[in-house]
Amino acid sequence: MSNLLSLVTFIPLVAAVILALLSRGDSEDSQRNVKYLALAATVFTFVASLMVLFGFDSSDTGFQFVEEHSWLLGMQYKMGVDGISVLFVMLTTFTMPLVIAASWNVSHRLKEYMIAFLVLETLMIGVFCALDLVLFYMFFEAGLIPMFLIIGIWGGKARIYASFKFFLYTFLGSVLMLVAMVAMFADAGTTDIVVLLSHNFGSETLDVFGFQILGGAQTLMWIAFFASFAVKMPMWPVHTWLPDAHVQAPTAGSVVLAAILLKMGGYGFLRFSLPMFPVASDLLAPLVFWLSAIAIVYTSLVALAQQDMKKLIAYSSVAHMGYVTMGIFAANQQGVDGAIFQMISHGFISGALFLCVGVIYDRMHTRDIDAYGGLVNRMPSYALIFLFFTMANVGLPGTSGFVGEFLTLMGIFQVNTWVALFAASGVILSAAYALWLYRRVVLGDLIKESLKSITDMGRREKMIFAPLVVMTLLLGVYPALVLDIIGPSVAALVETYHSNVAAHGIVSTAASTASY
Amino acid sequence: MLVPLAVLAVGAIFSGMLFYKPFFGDHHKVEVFFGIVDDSEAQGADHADVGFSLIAPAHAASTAEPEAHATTDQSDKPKKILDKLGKGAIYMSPTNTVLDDAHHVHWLVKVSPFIAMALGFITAWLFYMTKLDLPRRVAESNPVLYRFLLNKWYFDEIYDVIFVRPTQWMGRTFWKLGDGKIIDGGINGLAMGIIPFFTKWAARMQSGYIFTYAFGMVIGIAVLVTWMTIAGGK
Repeated sequence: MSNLLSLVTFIPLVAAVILALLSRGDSEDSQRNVKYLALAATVFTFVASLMVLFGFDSSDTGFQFVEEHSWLLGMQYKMGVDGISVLFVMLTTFTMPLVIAASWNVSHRLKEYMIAFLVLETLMIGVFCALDLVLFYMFFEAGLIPMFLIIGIWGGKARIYASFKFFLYTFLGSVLMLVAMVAMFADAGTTDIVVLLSHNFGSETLDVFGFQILGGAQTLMWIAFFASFAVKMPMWPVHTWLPDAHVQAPTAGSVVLAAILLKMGGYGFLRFSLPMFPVASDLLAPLVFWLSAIAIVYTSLVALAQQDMKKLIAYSSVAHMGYVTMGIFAANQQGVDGAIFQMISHGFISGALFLCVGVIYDRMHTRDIDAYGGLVNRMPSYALIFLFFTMANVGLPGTSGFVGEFLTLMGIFQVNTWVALFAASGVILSAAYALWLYRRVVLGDLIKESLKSITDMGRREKMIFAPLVVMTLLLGVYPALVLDIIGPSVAALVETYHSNVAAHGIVSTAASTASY
Repeated sequence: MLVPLAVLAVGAIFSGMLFYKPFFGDHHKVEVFFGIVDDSEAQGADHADVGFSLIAPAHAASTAEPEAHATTDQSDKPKKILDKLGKGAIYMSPTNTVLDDAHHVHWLVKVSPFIAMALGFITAWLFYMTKLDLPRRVAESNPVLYRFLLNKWYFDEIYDVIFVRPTQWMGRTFWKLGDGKIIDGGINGLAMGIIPFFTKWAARMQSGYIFTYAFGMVIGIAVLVTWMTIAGGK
């Protein structure tokens, strides 16, 4: 099928349009229809994406399922996936049915709620499939709108502040990216990402207002892209929008934010920064390493001080994304493999953890850690599931959390042992805050009166967690499922990167900082 | 109650078996199990290959397998698989002689865990089965030692002072000061303080009176003329 990717991308949008046009009223039947249509659309999208996965040839490092059509003002509508992007598409389509199922009890403006999520799914898949700069930018930026609405309308008490903070932080960075995109078009004469990947952007030292810019135009463009992706990841110190957004977002919004939206930053680094600006990436890699190491230690410590469960998991996400950026700019097979694996794994684990918070929030309407304690006495199934994902978050061997952390640490160790040392300390800190959270919420005697009638997870809730448990365990014991798909594309990326760096005659800064 | 005890007992037996062999078992068999070549083989091998040969037995056995298949009975196959199971799984460097050393320690070292177990067993028997007032009397006669042991050598308290409290303090400081005051405070200060300050002035300029705009133009011309005079129009 020649337009399979477009099909996968736009099924949710079509469902959203149908909902917008045909669904009327707030009756029980109408609400049920809205939910079932949204669920059916996301499940169908997932099935269609499976066809992409099964038809994907991982030995081919080029783009596959490529579609190209003329679009407005001479621009191209170009879509395609390679080994790096295909699994992000799968992560998105896998997560969305669970997100819809987790929203089954939403009743306030349900139609609009489901439309927002369906539109968001289209935009997220579009980001990972777009092979044209303008198309990528449109998908990337447009994704802010439904998320802004999800937080702003269905969020908590401080939702307005959080939604504006989320929007302004991410949008401000993206404006700089747009400027860089215009410069790229001016330089290369095209917005085709495939062509841009083989284009050599200038790396001769530039003089800007008396400042010598090493790496030249590449460095300036790299910084502009970095401004956008670093906020999206988010990296320290531009991370503070994330805890607020998570805390205020509804459970499903937090799941999408943690599982998919954050990964757009990492994907951007892999798609643009590393292959298109190799000289700049090489020059600025030490900066990324230290920002990542600081993020891991700093946000892990901040997580220890949290009283709000969602905030704690949000800070934990920032720490885990630190491993991703570190692995990407280590620019070796283990590092990049580990970074992608970590993103996929974090999608399952953090999504599940936010769902875990959602389960008790639905019952008690509080996320305050001190409001809980001894839940194991009334909620044994919940205690088990929460323990599993807590351990996965810590990076317990046998779960997918371990593989990503291990590979990224291995990757960075080959480049900079000091950064590896700091980053490794994050593993201990993550065990501290995660186990402490678990102990305070789940273990101990059930003393609080308000908890004495709390009920365990229902069948729907268990069904939502089941696929996440399976994937976390499966990738933990058999990581080749992911590594075999991404491996060849990552190898090609790493090889091209190093040959480009060598061709420009720059001694690898990252390598020169290596200390043993 | 019996099931956990049985599980523990089975675990103890397996642990004992694992522990027994390296210390008391057949020297050669232990080395073969861990994939260590014996001295005669090592001497015959090329020096450069020694490191590899330590992890090679399983591999070597697999390359020799077709020949072995041709000469041995098929019924021996499960036994051969069991014999090979785990061999070479643990890499031993040529300079690592820890397993061999375990064979040559004094016999008291080998039986010391058993002695410790026996002492513990006898003490527990005395304290909790026969002389029930003995624990109280021992505790009363050695109060400092009793409190020291009761509080697990005060390790929890030491950890609390050295690790837990400083870590929590750092976490709170980073959160309240770093995230709250410096990062968010800086951005919010910029957004809600400095920018409104300038926009307020800009709003005042939009008075609707022509003289305000004319004044702006005069200022602009003055700046332009000054710049051209200083820079020479470059």
